[in-house]
Amino acid sequence: MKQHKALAATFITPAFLFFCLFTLLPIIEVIRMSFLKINFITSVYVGFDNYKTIFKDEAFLLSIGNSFVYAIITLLGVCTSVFFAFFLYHMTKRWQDTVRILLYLPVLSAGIIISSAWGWIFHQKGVINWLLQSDINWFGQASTAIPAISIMVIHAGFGLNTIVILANLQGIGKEYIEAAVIDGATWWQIQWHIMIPMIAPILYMIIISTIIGAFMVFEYIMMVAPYSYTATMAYSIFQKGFEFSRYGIASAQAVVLLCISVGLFMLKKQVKAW
Amino acid sequence: MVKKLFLVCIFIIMLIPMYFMLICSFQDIHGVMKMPPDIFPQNITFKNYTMMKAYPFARWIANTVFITGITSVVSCFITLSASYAFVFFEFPHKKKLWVTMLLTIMIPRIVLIIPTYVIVKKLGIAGTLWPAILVLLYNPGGMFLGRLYFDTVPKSLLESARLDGANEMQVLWKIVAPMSLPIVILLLLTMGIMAMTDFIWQMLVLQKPAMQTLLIGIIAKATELGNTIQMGVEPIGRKMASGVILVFPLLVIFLIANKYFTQDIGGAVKE
Repeated sequence: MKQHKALAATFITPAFLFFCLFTLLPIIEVIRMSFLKINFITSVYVGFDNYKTIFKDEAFLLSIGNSFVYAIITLLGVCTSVFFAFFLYHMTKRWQDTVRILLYLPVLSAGIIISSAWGWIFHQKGVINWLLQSDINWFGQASTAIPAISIMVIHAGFGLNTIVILANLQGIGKEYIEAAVIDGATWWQIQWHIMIPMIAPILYMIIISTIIGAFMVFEYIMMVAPYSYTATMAYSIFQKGFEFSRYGIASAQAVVLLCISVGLFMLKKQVKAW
Repeated sequence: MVKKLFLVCIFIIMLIPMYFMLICSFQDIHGVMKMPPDIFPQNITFKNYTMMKAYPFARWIANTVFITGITSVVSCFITLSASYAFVFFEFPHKKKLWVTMLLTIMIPRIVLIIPTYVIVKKLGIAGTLWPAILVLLYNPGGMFLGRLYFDTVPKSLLESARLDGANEMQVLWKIVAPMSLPIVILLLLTMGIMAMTDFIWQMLVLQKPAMQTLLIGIIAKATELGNTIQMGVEPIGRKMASGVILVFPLLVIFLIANKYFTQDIGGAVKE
């Protein structure tokens, strides 16, 4: 094919410019800043001191641990999405279309907007305590606050995950399933050995983005339970950076999060290579 | 039958928070805290909404429309022109450039928020509306979707047009552009919603009252009054009312365009 260097350059330059300015440059900057001690006026090179500080900081270590707990609980939510998508796959087309529209609604109201309703539901005098006939202060300690916030996160992502998985299930060629039926496979064998492997790539994508999403939980924490025992890494970075103005420390925390997300991404490639 | 009941149950669970947000926004303190809650509201009061009369809504809406409009249109244009080049043009280092630009999709935005804030300050645009717009313009996810979409345009169609003597711009406007409407609308909508709900970043860069958007302004007011009970109006009710007002524009967009949301981006040319 003929090359179109000049045209290609014109078409890509705007995107590339913004990519450099607001993605590439910040990546370089965050790594550089993590080695600096930054005040408003001066910035001094301090080597690995920021990293030493954050790994001695119990609040930060707790936020890493919390993030993994959020990740594990929200992954259970992904499992329910998978089950629900399989369930919908076996329903009629008319139901599927109705369901898709309704599933999108909570996606629209995700995060900050709906958090007031969740605050009310989990209030000490709220609906959940009334249903359970109990008097639990849901946001009072980590053991109840983290599952409660995870439920909000799952609720916001459930619809979109289900829709994406359902679309992929519908993309599976009927000939595979028919061939399996002819070979005498049972219904469960078809679901487990044919359909799950066929949608594996999109499942990896969803799992990775759910884990990274768990590290990014922020709005709910800020609105309903802004405490150190509920903090995720995102919340910790934001607090260090913008409430305490310790840019160097916050940058070092951000680099740790960057490494974790890159690591997860590499892991995905490893899993694929099996 | 059992299946349908199960479906209905799932829906009710999914919609409960939104439903009660709407109901409670019309309740006073006693109504909000009544257990069990009324499924159909009684003693409706509009206090939570009339309390908001004094808010500078005109300013907030103008800012929101400005940010959302510019972000969605410009970002859609930038993103799709890049995807177009990656699909239809050959140039050196194409694959490397694609991978570099796309891989950053996995980096959580919070990682970059501090250096981006510093860059924005150095550019001298802090305190204006532009930071809220500029950081969203490069959209790797949209670029990926755009590429998937353009990949379904048959290359043979383009080749025959080129053989007939059409130049590249004619190919773009006469062949590809007319069949791109679904992807254009999808990107406009997703970026519009993104710009309207980009809470963390906007909270940082839009602190001046005159620069606040609907989202930032309303949330700031709701949390600022959260701890003080003013004139007998319980803050929970008012927070709910704030939420309802914020959902409203999104819901309108969604209902107008839901067929574009829920369609499969199957491809430009249906076989």
